[in-house]
Amino acid sequence: MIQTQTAILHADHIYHTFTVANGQPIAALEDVSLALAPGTFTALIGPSGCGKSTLLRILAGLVEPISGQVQFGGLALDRPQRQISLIFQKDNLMPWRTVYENIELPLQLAGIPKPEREQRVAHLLYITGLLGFENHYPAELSGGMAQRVAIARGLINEPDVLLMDEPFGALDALTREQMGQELLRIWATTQATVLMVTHSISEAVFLADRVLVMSPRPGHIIREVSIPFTRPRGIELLTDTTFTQLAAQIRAAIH
Amino acid sequence: MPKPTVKVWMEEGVHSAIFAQQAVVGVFKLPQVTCLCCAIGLPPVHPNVHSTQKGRLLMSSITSTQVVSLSSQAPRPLPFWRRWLRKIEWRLLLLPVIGLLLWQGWVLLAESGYYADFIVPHPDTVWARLQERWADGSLVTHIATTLREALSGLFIASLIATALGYIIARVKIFDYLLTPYLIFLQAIPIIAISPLIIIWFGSGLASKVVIAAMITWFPMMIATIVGIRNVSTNLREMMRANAATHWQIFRHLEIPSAMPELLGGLKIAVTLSVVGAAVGEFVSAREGLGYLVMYGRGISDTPTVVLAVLMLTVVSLVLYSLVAMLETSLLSWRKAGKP
Ligand SMILES: Nc1ncnc2c1ncn2[C@@H]1O[C@H](COP(=O)(O)OP(=O)(O)OP(=O)(O)O)[C@@H](O)[C@H]1O
Ligand SMILES: [Mg+2]
Repeated sequence: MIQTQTAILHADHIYHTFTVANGQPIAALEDVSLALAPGTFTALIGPSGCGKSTLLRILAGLVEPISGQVQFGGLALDRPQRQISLIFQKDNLMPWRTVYENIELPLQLAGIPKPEREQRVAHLLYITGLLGFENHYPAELSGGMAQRVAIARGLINEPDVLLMDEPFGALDALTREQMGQELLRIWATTQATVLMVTHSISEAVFLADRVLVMSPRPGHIIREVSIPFTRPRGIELLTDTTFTQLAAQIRAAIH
Repeated sequence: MPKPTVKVWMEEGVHSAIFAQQAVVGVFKLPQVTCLCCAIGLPPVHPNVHSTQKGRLLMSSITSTQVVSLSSQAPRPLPFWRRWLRKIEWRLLLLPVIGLLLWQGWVLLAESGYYADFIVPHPDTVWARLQERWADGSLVTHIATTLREALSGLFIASLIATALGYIIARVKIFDYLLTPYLIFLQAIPIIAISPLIIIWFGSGLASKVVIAAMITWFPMMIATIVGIRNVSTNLREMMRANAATHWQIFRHLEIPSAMPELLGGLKIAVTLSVVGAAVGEFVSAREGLGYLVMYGRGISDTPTVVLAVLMLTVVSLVLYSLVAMLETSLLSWRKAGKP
């Protein structure tokens, strides 16, 4: 377990309950504690509806938990911060903004001057393979391209913490692998701390330093698996025996 | 040492980025890219790059370079008036046909002898009235008066109605408290109480502005409420996650998102504002197209009545078309992704 003091983002005994329209309470999270050490890559995996998105919203400062506390850089997190970037499960693009303008949005909100915005957007268009599409509207993109725009938007602020909610969910297997490697490459050049929700066990093992497994609702972290592979990691890792063993361990924990 | 690769990416005069070894070196506009191409000894192969003059050396650090890819150029969009013409061409062809049919029908009716001239005036008489009133400048005065009344009323109503609509859409307690009373206000038949308004506000500009405002505020308010309520909660959350301020959410999310509804409301309101001004003028006025209708009726000069009604229609049409044009330019993104 990572020491609380060194963690950049730290959740302490989080409980969260929703009240649905008919008044019935739904316990989404039950006693979730986790600590993210600076510069690490953590994957979060768990059955559908177990509260992963809810946990990410809480960690982003968007939702206040019923009980428990989130600390960011040693201070209680009471509202969203620019240094924490959340990439949503849905792409959440503005249909009236072009690809370029959608990616530019966080910089605009942060008051970055236009010339610098241009440079950074151009760079991200390049990394996400969206060059030539900057003047397209979201309605003119495929699902995977829209998701790439959302990823570019999440990265543009050069955040300290990157929370990703199934960012590759809308991508096909091939692009998914490519984007995963791309993400690792981008991540290696930043000092960002990453927490990524995924449904793919092999993706989790391939990308992360540590995989957290959640129980069905109410969500609770039931297993923590460290991934020992060194970086940079190549695609050949997927056939490594340790890799398959780790994947099997995680699969067993989920079921 | 690996050979530096330069990627020149060009897109319709907007942003052009120069990439060297996967890092962006700079973003340039098209003429500068031309200069760059010349500087690094490349022909400006791009069809849109005409200038071949040797310009400043933009990136002296790049020595041995090669253009890896030049993204293909989207066709230059037609100028707006050509696109506009393209769209309405066939309707323009129809215009003389319909115009001629209406005119001939009117002429036939007037010349049939069944109707006295003060019931169905001959178009020529109406045309003569138009020329008279154009020559002495009174037509322009009447149009200007009605326009001023209608637009002032619409402006004031829009300010109040959008502000009210916004707080009603955003703050539950205002919705709960105010909505019933506002509906009550709207239920008052404006045409019926216009004499009262004239009594209270006099027979000058003020009373017409009040009537035009009273007839237009409701559609504007409803449009605002619907528009603001329709703002996606997911996008709101995304804005909040990016630590957007209330003002930024208003400016970058709520306004553009509600724009289709707002413009729809404005389309209704703008034609109603002319109705409002005319109704006020019917009751009591010294100038304006509504006044001209009543004046013509008073002296049994039906051609003047017809002329005034036609002018009211034209004013309404022009105002509506202006809003429709505004809509086309502001909401061009809605055409995206549709066949
Ligand atoms: N706004 C809400 N109101 C009421 N209940 C909610 C709300 N959001 C989530 N829930 C409930 O909380 C539980 C956890 O939801 P959450 O979206 O966090 O799941 P998840 O793990 O992200 O699922 P998935 O993998 O399918 O995205 C769900 O069972 C859902 O019923
Ligand atoms: Mg989810």
